[in-house]
Amino acid sequence: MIKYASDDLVVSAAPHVRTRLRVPLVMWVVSATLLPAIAWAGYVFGPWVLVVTAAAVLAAVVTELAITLLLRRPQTVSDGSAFLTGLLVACNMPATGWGVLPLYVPVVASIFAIAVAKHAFGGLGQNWINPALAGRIFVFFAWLPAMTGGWAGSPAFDVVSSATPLNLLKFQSGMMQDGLQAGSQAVLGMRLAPSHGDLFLGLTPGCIGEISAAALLLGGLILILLRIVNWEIPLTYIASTALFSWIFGGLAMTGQAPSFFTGDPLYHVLSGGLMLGAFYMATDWVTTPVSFGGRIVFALGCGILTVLIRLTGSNVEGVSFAIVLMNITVPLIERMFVPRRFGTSEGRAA
Amino acid sequence: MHPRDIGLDTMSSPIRNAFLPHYLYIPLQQHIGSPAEAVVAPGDVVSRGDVIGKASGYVSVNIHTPLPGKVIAVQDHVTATADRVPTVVIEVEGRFSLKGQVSRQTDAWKSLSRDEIISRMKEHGLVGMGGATFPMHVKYSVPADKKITTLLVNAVECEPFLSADNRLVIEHGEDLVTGIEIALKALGVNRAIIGFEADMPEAVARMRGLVANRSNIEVLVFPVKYPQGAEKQLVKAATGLEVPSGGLPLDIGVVVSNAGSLVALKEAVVDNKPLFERIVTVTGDAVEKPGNYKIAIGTRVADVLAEVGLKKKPARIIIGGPMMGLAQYSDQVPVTKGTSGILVLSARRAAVYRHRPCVRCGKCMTVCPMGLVPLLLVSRVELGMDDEAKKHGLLDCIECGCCSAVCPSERHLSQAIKLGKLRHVAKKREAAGD
Amino acid sequence: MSVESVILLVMSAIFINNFVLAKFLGICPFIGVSRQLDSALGMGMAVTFVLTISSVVTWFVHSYLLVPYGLEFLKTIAFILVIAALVQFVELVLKKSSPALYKTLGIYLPLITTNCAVLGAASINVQKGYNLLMSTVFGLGAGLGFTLALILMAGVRERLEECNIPKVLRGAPIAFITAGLISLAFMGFAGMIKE
Repeated sequence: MIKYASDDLVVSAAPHVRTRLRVPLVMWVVSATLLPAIAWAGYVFGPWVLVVTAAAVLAAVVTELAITLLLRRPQTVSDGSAFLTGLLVACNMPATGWGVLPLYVPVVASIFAIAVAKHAFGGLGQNWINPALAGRIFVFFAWLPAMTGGWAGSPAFDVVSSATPLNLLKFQSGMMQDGLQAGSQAVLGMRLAPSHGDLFLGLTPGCIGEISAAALLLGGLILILLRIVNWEIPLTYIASTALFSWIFGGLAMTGQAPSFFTGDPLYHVLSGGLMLGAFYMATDWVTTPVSFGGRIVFALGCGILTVLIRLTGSNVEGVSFAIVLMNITVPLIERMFVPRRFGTSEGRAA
Repeated sequence: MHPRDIGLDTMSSPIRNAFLPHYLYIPLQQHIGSPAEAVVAPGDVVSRGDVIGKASGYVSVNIHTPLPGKVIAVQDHVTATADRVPTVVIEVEGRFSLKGQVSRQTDAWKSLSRDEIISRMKEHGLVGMGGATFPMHVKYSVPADKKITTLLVNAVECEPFLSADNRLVIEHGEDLVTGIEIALKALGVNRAIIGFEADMPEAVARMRGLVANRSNIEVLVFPVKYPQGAEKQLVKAATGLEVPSGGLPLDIGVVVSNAGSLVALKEAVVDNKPLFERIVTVTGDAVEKPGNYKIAIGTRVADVLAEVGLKKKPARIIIGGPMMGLAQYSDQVPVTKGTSGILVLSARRAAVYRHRPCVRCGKCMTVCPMGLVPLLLVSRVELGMDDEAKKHGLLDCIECGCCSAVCPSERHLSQAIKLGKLRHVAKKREAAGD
Repeated sequence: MSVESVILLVMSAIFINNFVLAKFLGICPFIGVSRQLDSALGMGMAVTFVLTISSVVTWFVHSYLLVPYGLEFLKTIAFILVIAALVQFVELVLKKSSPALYKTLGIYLPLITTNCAVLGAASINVQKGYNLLMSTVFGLGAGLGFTLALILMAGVRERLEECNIPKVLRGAPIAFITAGLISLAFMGFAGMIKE
């Protein structure tokens, strides 16, 4: 018989057993699943990609540390959320050649993400807007040329620089004529549009974390299998983007008669930030609805807005805007999807 | 939720009689309602089954001593739920009388009237043994305006790790069937449903065999899921009806009784044996000989642990199950009528959880069996917005603990909701009384 | 003037050139009345109502009073007077004729008198040379855009009530930060409709 004293007994509230999924674990696992995509970008576009990533992560972590010290709040660096935010900011930076993207861009984006989008509202769990996307949009408008020019070609592969797949789409639809001469527009539009295979593997210019649909798909599937990420948002988001780009994608093309159901859904799904957005941004627990129905509506909205912005907006890429715009509507969506309370006929009072 | 795969199963451990302790600490309040009044004084000699506490008022029951001995004190003592409860302390000595020793199957009870059965419940100290300990005679005295159609027998373990009901059905199946018949007579209804969980095949087979020739008793098997044994969830699973918010099962014509309570009813009515001992699942990673023990009420946990042995240093002693049980600060708490389990965990299993900010993952909402949104409820409670919290279903919470168990931020959701409820009760008292 | 251009005008006023989030008009009620969804909805409806009517009235005032007599330089003052009078008049009429609507809009109506969004719509109508129909539609669209912004803001702010916001930022500061972030997000709509 083992001896013990009453002092050995710990008193705590029920329940006394819990599942093992914890926030820090989640953050680090999500971060880990992003690394292949970033590493691939580093391999394809050269080491500046990795420098930009390091800068973004470092800025995010330091900002987190500084703010928690300043506000005398519990230290939260170890929960991994700042690291992940930094990583996601980096993913949204253009992959450029050595020294082309100034380092202050990712740094400011990270600081904005952590300080303004997250800690101004009270820190982890309190922000209503996805911090990484808020940071990205902020620097996007602050340094538009840096964020939209200088797409890198690849030293390792036969990737031609200067236009992302979605830029090409804009050229084809004749919406970007201003900046380009008619000749180069035709060249870019007709000859250099990447194949679906290149899009899937990431052999095309783009942002650091978004170029390889394959790497993101793999990471996303791991997260879904681990139950960290729900399946309904990525599926609905990608499916609705495919559907709407198929229906309306053909309307915006020049050089052919505009007609419905002639878009190229696969091109839309594989290009730009859709994979990154659908698996890593639109599934952020904090800034998306908690209910199943709410998530479907949220993801549907993301899909519609993404296609709308891609096809008609002056912004080339719609994913980040679509997600942030839907972030705003989350409190309203949540009001519509209230579970039915047991033993009552109605949901909770609004 | 399926918080079951932790490998502390006692499903196949037969019921063993626990040894006799030297002292009994029998609290005079082991039920919901007013405490019993002591009818013994220090120096009195009592024998097995004697009444030591007399029911005081309608919602109260008698308390009996399980063992013969000498009363050495009537004093305040700690229980699983309260710090100081009037308690009769008995030094065990003397000889057993045969009272309530023999288990019989006779039909003599059939001559009893409904009222006689119900008064026997109160006399013999019967309470709901699933954990709520609501006096049985009150539950069975159905108001005239309610029409009862079904007796629902709860043979689903109320919590993971506990297997007392499973063993009871396997080993005391006949007693349970007789108990059901007595209960049906007390209620004046003719239909009973016995609800099991799918992981109790032996008990199900046993019961199916026993009721094969009775058309009025139905055996249903439900999927393994916590909290399947919670009253409202079981009623829904068995009848498809939902107990209305703020209501009781009898509002939809159902009376729910725990299998253990009905076996106790049989023993009280047929064998004239009061409720003074019960089957308790003793388990946990610190326990050397986990299993189901028949333990005399009033036995202190320390004495139980001395018998079952410890293989690790206990860090947490829990009365009840892992989801809703109460962690104790003292091993001096006695086993009472409502003690369904004693869980002893070592430091490795007894983690202390940090209440971190909510990250709105929605998992608590997904698992809530009552359709509540715990994350919202808790933020309302924390902000002191009690009226808002009530609108969000504060009082509907059954405190099953699922929300806390899945929370990746280790939030004390269930605890916060309980706090909100307590505050509500306190406010109501204030408004009513002072 | 086609149906399509009317729809585009409304859409543009709601999303792309949202009065609050893109043109920064009517910030005062936007910050002031966006604490709760119910009042935000009431305010939004009241503003939409007044914006539409005032667009019509100021169009008449401008086309048949100011322009014929060469008094365009009095535009701003005239519009302010007209709008103030109009709001008071609408309030009186509503009080008498439709108590239910008055109850919904009533408390917000006096606030609108000084809402620069109303004056802004009138001025833009003149600036862009919209005809009567276009002015009315633009006023309606601007009002709907204002309502949308207000409702979105109110939804977010209701959630902020539960947040552990640093002390220095509580109240107006965090409201402005939120408004800024929402406005940033609305820049995503830029360029969708050519003007």
